[in-house]
Amino acid sequence: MATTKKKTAAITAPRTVTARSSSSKSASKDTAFSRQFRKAIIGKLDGWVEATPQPTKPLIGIAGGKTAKELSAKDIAEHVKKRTPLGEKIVANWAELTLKSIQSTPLV
Amino acid sequence: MLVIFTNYDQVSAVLEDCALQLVKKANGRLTVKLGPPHSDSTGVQKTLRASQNVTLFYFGHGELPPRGLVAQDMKPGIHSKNLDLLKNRLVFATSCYSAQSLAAASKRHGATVIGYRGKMMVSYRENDRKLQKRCILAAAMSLLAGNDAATAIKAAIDAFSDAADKLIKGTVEDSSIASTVYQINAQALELSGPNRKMQ
Repeated sequence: MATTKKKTAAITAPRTVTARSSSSKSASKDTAFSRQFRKAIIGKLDGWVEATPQPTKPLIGIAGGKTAKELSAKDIAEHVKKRTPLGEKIVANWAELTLKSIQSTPLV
Repeated sequence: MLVIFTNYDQVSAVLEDCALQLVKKANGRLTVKLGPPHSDSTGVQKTLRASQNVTLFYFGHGELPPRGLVAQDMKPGIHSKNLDLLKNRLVFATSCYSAQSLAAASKRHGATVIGYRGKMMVSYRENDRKLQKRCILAAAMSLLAGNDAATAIKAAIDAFSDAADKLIKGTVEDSSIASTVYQINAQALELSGPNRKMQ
C-alpha cells in the first residue's frame, strides 16, 4: 500500500541580508549609512585586536573540511576590512542584531 | 538512537563534548554510542548497516566536495555513494555542509535531515561552552522530548538567535562571536525530507 508522507519545506532562519562576493558589486549597493556602520565596526575590531593580549589566538573554529579552519580576533578584523563573503556576512549580522536590540529596548 | 562523533582537533573536541552530553540525556534510548577510535569510516558504515531506521545524531566535520561527513580517520564516513545507509532515517548532523551533502538522502531515500547549509561555526571561548552546547543540542533535546523535526529545528534556530541577541549587547568580542558563530549557525540550519519524530 502506498503511503503518503507529509513533506516539509526547508525551514531556515530568515535571511534578511545577503553576503556579497566582490567589493565592486557591493560598492554600488552601499549607502552612506552602511559605509558608516562598516567603518564603526572596523574601528571597534581594530580596538579589540589592539587591546586583546593574544590577537592571533584562535577564537572560532569551522566544522568544515577534514580539519578545523580557525579565526582569531585579527582574522575576523581582516575579513571585515577585506570585505570577504564572511566579512560581509559578519557586518550584515552585526547590523541586524544591533537593530533588533534597539527595537527590543523598553520604552520606559 | 545512534550517537556518532569524532575527536581529532579543537572543533571536533567541542562537538564531542556535545555528543557526550546528549548521550547522558538519552535516558535509555541510546542504541549505540560510537566515538574515537571506533568512529572511523568503516566503523560508521558498519554501525549504520547494523541499525537501520534508527535516528542518527552525528557530530564532526563535513566537507563539500567530496560531499560527506568526515569520520575519525578523516575519510568521509557518509558520502554521496552510501546515502542509502540513511534510508527512512531521522538524521541530525552537526557539521558543515550537512544540509547539502545529505540532501540526496532525503530526496532519494526518504531520510529526514536536520543539518547546516554552509559553514557550522564553533566558539572556543570557555565562557561560551555551556550556552553553545545548549544551542547545538536544542534540536536533539526537542526530538528527545517527543517533538517532530520541524519543531526541533525551530527550537535550535531560536536557541542560536536568542544567544546572538544576548551577546550583541556585550563587548566587541561578544558581538563578534554573536555575528560570526551564533547568528551564522541560526541562518545555516535547515530541514529536508518528511517531517517525523524519533522512533
